[in-house]
Amino acid sequence: MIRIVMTLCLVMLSLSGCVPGQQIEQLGIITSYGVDLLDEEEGTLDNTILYTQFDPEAPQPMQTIESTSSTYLDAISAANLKTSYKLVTGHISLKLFGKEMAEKGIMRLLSPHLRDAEEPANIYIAVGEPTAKEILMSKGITDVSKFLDQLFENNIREEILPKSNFMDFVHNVDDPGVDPIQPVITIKNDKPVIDQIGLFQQDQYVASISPDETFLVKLIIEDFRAGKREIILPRAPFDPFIQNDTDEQPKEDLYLTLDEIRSSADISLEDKKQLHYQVNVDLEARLMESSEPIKIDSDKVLNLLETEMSRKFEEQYEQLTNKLKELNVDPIGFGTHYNAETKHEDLTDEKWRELFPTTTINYNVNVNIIRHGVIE
Amino acid sequence: MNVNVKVKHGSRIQSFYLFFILVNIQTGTGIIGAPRYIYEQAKQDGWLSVIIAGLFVHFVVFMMFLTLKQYENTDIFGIQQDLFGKLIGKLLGTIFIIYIFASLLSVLINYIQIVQYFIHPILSPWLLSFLLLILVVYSVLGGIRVIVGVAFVFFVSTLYILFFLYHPLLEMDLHRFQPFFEASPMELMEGARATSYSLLGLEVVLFIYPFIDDKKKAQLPSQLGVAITALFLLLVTIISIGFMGRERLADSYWPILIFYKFISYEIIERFDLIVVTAWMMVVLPVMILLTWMMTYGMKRMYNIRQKKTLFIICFLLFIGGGLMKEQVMITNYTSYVGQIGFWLTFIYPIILYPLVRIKKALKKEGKN
Repeated sequence: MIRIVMTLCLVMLSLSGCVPGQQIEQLGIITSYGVDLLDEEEGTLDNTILYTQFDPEAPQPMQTIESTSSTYLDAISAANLKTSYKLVTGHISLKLFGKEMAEKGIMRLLSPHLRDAEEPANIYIAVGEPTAKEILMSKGITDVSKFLDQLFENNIREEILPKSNFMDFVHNVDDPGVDPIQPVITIKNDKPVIDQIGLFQQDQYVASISPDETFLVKLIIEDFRAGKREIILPRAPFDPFIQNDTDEQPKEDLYLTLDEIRSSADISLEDKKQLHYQVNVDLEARLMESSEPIKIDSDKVLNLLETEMSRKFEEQYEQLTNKLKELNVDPIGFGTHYNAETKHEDLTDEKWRELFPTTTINYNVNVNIIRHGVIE
Repeated sequence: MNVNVKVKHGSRIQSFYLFFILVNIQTGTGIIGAPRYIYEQAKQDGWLSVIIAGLFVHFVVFMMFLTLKQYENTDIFGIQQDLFGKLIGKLLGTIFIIYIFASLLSVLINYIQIVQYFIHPILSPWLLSFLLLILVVYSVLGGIRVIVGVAFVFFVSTLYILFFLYHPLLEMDLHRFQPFFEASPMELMEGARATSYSLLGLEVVLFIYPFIDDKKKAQLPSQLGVAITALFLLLVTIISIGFMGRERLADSYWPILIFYKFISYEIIERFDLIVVTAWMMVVLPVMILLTWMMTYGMKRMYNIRQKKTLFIICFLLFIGGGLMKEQVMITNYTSYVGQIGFWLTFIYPIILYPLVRIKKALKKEGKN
């Protein structure tokens, strides 16, 4: 018995030497990686790396390093020369690309996450405007990585941002007939904020749209569970229902807020040759705020509100579609629907770029206000 | 060597264990990579290929039992000797054993490779194969009952991995399956054939049959076993196609581990590490069962003591596992094993049945 125990102990002791250990005090754990284009012709990159360490003697837990390289993994090695900690990439949660860099295409810097099984896959991808460096080095916040991480997480949970992590990005780049959308971060008052949402052609940044327009895109590509949305309607049709108007503001528009939005959308390809699409969006919501005291005491008012809102949404969709067609980006993925309907014909991205501007898309939005609060 | 085998009562097993044996031996390392090969052939209709393959496997098992029932209590070696005589019978049996060794080696090196990719890139393959083989030796020395027990325990204790597939299942994009039925029947058949490496291992029925106590009830658990394996494969193929998308799936060696990689929780950020680690419990029963089959075969044919073969086999495996480390070589080797296995495991038993019937008819005529 003793002999067995002794052998076991010996085996365990000798085995523990087989894989090198890593002491956490000696590690610099990279949390964010930002990259800008340094030289366009040579393709060199200007890297900004944020890392955290657990060394009790270090003055600040969060550190920044800059390095120059041509690839992502070399950026880490180059940065390693400038720190006493061993930099590890296993906990990276954000990759931020400068606008100029993003316009050139970013997939090449993401390939380690696909090729190397050790690299994490749950990371956020975003565009930094004007440069990634400025955002990661912003003075207003001590821990930029954590701030941005929570910024994304909360806004995705609150259904303001569309799903835009690494997996969604890669899938949208891979699948023909759909393009990714990723948040664009800018600096306001020394703090990073999400101002716009970037449109991509494949992995190349093209232009950006406002959060309002993003809502419209998100309404089709994802189902809302509890979204919020402000909507502006012309005031005129509601005049007879507005009572006790006390404030003195100019009265052309009516501002309403919908919340607890639940939605579902479906896209159908009506005509494969003419590329005629029909998009139906059903939207259920509560009306919780209105800039004018509208008295909702009958179906008539509600129906009027609903039809006006539907019309407004449809108008906005028309504008958005024209913009998307002009830029030739398809974040909604009309191309995947085309591809799914056509047999024996593999859609390529080039082909869809030719076809997409020729499509006609008809929107039909159906708003249904199910509750309007505890007052009439 | 007698055609029929006498097995002591103490080393017999209940027929329902065949279920665990079959599920275990079929679900090895193959299932991790299979969806990619299926997708290569049948594209988005790959799930249909898996269904075809599953039905075919049921048929093969049915034929195996039909063949075995012609005899009193025999295995593949007995049947071969009865059909082809001593010399050719032994030759075929040896081929079978070499093939089993090859497939065992492929399981070992594939698992080592996966561990190196996902957990420890610098871990020595010698060490890992040594550790795995110690466990193999230990279990095989325990005899058939221990082996069956291992199969049962490890099946139950790894089943939870499946549960976490709900995550990629919910993230699937159903458009990726459209247009339906685009693949031609030929492509579907090719896709079904691509499953062969991940469904190998059926031949265990031909080895373990003499050890089964209640042979009349053996068909049902075996059929259930292969049904479950086919269902696992169907599930992961569907998720792979729906979750991974076209290009990404065509590129990935281990699509299953890739989508486990996307799963993360508050307390565990990288779920793939757990899956790779737990996968040892999926791989071990395969290795143990295959090793036992070889030692048993050698004893049956050449009367070599099982202990002796066991140590020789494990030594050879240790050498093989330590030396084969080039990715391209491993991939090619695995696909060869899959191709040979397709003929030996799926086609050969079907051919065997008519031969046995003819032989029996001839014997009857001779008597009359």
